[in-house]
Amino acid sequence: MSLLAEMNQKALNLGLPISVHLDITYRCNERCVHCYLDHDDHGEMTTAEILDVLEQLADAGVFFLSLSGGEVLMRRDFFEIVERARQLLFNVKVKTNGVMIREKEAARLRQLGVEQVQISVYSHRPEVHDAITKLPGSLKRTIRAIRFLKAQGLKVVLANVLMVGNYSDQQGVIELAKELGVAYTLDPTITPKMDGDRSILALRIPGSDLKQIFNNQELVGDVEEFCAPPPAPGEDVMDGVPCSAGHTACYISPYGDVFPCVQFPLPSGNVRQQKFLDIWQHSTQLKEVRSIRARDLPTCSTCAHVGTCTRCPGLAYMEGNMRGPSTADCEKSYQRTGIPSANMLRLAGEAYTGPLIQIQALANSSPDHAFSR
Amino acid sequence: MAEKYIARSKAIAARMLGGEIMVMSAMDSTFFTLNEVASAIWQAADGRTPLSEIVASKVCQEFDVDRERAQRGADRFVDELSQHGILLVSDQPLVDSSQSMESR
Repeated sequence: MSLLAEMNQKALNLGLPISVHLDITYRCNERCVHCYLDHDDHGEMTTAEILDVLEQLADAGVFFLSLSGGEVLMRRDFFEIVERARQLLFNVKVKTNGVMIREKEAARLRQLGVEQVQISVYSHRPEVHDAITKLPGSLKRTIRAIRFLKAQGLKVVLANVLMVGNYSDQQGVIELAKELGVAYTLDPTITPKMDGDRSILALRIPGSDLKQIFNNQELVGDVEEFCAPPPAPGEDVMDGVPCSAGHTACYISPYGDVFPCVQFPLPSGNVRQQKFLDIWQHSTQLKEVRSIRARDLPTCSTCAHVGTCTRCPGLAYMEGNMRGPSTADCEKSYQRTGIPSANMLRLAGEAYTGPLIQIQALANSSPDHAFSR
Repeated sequence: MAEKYIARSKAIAARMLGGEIMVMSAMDSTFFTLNEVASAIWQAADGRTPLSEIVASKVCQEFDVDRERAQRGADRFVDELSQHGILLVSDQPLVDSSQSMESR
């Protein structure tokens, strides 16, 4: 176990929030086609409120602080917030599109001791990237920002969200990251909008393309090991927690709302009405999230993938049940290993509800066949 | 031997977690955890107090360690962290080095 993993385990044992993702604004200068946010300002926390929240987070033991948005630089007090965060000795990661970062901003981030800057890039081709951000010239400005940040010696991670419109450019973005000398990370997850609108899910890349990603040695390392069938789960798996959301990490919105994770919009309190630590320790919603173990998941506990699946409880919550499956992760597990999830098999069974189809389902009861369509 | 003065770098993140201090360098992302003795030295690293005095008052007294052994351990600890730019070391007091940083 790495030192960092040991500390995470220690925080879990002590019930401490070691990581917080704080969105300081939902306003943005881009209008990305896959974005789940409402960019209007409905009453963001003031500078004083955010600085007070930072104090509370430091007192609560938070070490890793991700500042994100929206576009963080849309706030005029962005550097004041970062400066205070660094005075409080947080490990600060900034997520940005980089469009507003020039030499001066890059130098300031370096001077303040920001540990990492994550920048979204959708394609190496301007016509594709700019079509996704809906901001003409955005790729050029983003790449310029990366160069400024690199020149300052900052650690930069290029984040590549994959969707229908840019999937085929993935290799080009990897090459761009190499050329710029920055790390590359990809995310094929498109989440529903915060208001529940699921229309943007149509942008999710199809399963067959996911399979190609999982078979890319450059991305996953040992393909055979990565795509191996899941081992039988032990007791430790069944007693395990699904992820850090609500256990050692949480999310705070620009309006002060606290959620288990940015991808888990279960309202758990608001720092404008309660102290952060009070929410962390006493929120009934967070307590419920913390009470869930793999064995408590009605469908997933019976699934072959239970020990290896990347099941996101937040996506499951957005599908209607935080104890239910996250179908996007079922798809990932299936495309990675070729073995359908318990939920896929259940749905395949439910599809055959008419009398004639029932007979067909009974006659072809092998799991592989049940999933084939 | 010349006296050493130590101060915490500004380019670090740090937090107490269950009696240990986690420290990460913002320069190279090196991650350390400091045990109770190292944490005591870390917290006393104000740039003005000589290391020998920190060892005497914060290590020998509080952890019941003999002076020579404590000093050797402290020198190794300071050397290692200074190599990663996490601690600043000088033979002169380091004024204004960590005054604006708030250790918790």
